[in-house]
Amino acid sequence: MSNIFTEQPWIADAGPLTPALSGAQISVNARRSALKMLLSVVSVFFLLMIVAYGGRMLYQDWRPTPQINLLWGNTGVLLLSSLCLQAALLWARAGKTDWVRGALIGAGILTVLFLVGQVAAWQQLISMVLGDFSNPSVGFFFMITGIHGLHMAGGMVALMRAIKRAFTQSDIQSIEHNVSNCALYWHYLLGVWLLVFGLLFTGDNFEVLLKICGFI
Amino acid sequence: MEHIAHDETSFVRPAEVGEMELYHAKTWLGKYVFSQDAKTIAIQYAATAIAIGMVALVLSWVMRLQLGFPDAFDFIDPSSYLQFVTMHGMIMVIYLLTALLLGGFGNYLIPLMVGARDMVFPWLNMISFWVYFTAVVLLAASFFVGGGSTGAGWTLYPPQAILPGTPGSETGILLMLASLAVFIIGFTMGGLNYVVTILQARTRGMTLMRMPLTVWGIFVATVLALFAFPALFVSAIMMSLDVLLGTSFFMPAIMTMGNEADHVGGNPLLFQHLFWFFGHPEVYIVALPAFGIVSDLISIHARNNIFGYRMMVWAIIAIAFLSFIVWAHHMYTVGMNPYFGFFFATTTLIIAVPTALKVYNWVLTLWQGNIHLTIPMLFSIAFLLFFINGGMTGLFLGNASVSMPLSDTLFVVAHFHMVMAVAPVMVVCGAIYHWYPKITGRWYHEGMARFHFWVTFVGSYLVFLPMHYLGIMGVPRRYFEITGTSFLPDSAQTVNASITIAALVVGFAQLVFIYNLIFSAMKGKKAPGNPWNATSLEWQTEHTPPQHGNFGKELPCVYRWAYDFSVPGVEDDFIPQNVPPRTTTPEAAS
Repeated sequence: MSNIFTEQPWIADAGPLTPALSGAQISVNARRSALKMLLSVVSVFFLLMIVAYGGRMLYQDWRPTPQINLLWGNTGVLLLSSLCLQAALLWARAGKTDWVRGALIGAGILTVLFLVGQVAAWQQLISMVLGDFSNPSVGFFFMITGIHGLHMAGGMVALMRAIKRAFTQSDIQSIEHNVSNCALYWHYLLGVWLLVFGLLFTGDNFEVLLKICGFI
Repeated sequence: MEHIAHDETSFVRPAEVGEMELYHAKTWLGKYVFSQDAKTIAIQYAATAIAIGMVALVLSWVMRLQLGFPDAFDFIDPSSYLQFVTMHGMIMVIYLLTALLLGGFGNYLIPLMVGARDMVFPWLNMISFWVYFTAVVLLAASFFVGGGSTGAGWTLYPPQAILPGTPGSETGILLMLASLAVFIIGFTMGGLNYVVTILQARTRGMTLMRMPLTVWGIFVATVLALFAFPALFVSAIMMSLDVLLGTSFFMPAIMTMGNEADHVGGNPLLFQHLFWFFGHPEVYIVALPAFGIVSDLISIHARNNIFGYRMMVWAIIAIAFLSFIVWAHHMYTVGMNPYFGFFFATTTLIIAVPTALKVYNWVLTLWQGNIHLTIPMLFSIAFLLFFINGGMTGLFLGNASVSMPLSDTLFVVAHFHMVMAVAPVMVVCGAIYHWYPKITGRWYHEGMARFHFWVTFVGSYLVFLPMHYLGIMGVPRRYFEITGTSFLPDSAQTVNASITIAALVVGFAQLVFIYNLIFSAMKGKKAPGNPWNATSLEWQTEHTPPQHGNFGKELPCVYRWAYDFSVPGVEDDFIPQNVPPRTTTPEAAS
């Protein structure tokens, strides 16, 4: 009856109403659903930037961004922060509140470290190009890393709330919901970072990117 | 006639889900300014959108005065004319229609129609409005900065948009880009709310396929917008960086004012692709809610169930999907590969199939209906006439070979005004009149409403129908003045003057409309709770206007779709969605 392919809405109910016929519970899944929807939107956002980058690479005058080794270290830090959140989630499920608190704080510190590292990478690049931003690949570098960083910084707001809740509340299920959403967000942004770092900023990945973008 | 007993007890089990906790404002500010009630937020959206829309309306008058009576007004020069064109277009498309249809109608109708107390995230909803308001303020501020607002055309194509010589290339363009970015952030907040509310906060019995088509239209348009707006956001950021940091995303090596610009290697076409990847779905972001609303208006005021409900839902979804793969039909003249042109022309024509299907279904809903020529019905019929007309000219422009000579002429202007300006505005007006008794608890003034309808309907035709002929004659769009052009006869100017007079009259009718809305909200006759004998849940509320929380102690249960009109064997010609199925009692049968 609730199948959108087969339902015949012009026929009124012939049996008792069940909750399955309506929307799901508001309190349980709404934040999770909103987060998943938001991540879909953000995916389109990053995808468009990557496609634009790939399209621009096709031109003869393309000059890649100078290599910045610091980005490898930043990637490691982001990976660790994501792992911390995964650990926090597993401990929350196991009911180990103290461990959850430690892992959340660890994730927060590592994320701040990642952001500081990204700013340092920016400074390195600025000194390399001597303030000349006319090279499109440099422009893309600043834009994509900047927007990714802004998403991380935004996530910090949610992480701070999760930390506060972990220290002030005893309801482990509520803590778990928060940690679970933060973990999903962090894993997602780690994935995005690995994609843009791997494709755009680690050297000569020209052909891989063009294949992904469908140009060859 | 059968006796109908409503046997609620055998159909309703106790709710298994706790209700959402409503936020109750304690202060006047919390209740009316920073309100978290979706209905108040809806009115805030609508009022702001209509206010900035009136500015755009005035800009259109000024443009028309220049075109109809060139050299008669000293305060209009070529630069300011382009600024008026740009701001008129952007305001109408984004800040009026998108905001009004999704922020205004979406906020008011979604919770009420799906049987929810409020949006799922009321606080986010409130923030969403204030971010939108900030975007409007930023946009309006560009009128007052040095150099004025941008005059790049609503498409904001680089390199022209940011080169010296284009009006507003100093600050106006930056404010426009910032305003768009802020708008998109605000919309994303609101959009997530609409989608999650529809998916997860529907009341018991309200399956997706029992939702009124209004909700379907708003839902799919919101999803569309959530996925289309990022393209505009990305292009706004990139162009801002080109202006502020001297990057070269869109700016090629170029000479400007006799000097070489600092930019090298940017690609202006990239902007066009990004812009239209947003821009074409934007047409449907405006159209789909209008499609949904008009379906309900036609069904209710023709007292007939909607013809082909499931088809209507799938047509909305199909149109939304197809709208993402037609964008380059706006770019035929850039010199694209003919195979691309063929592809985009084909997809463009395919989109006409589900669209035509909807039109047939609207007509078939009217067929043998008990048509009440109420104000909402008049506007609905007017919508059909404008939409069919505008859709037909879309077939011309969708074909690459026909589009080439017509591109950049008034034919294009006439087409898109018919199909995505006047047609949705007809629905907006019809919808406001339809839900006005519910929103205010009072009736609008019938005489003023009829005056508003007839002047708007006839006047809009007088504006946009002759404009097609001007376009076919070759009158270019965005030109400040065409007098003295050798290939155009003098009659072209006469037509232009008549269009201007019609536009001014249509504009005046909108002032009557606004006056009617304000006047009637205070002095209008009291309206009953369900004056149209409609079936959907918003008409079944305990109070009119609905109070905070929408429904009484219990949320309604839904047993049927929203289109049970003129059901055979039933005394009333409508059965509300929350009325349980009939059971024929033994006494009645005997």
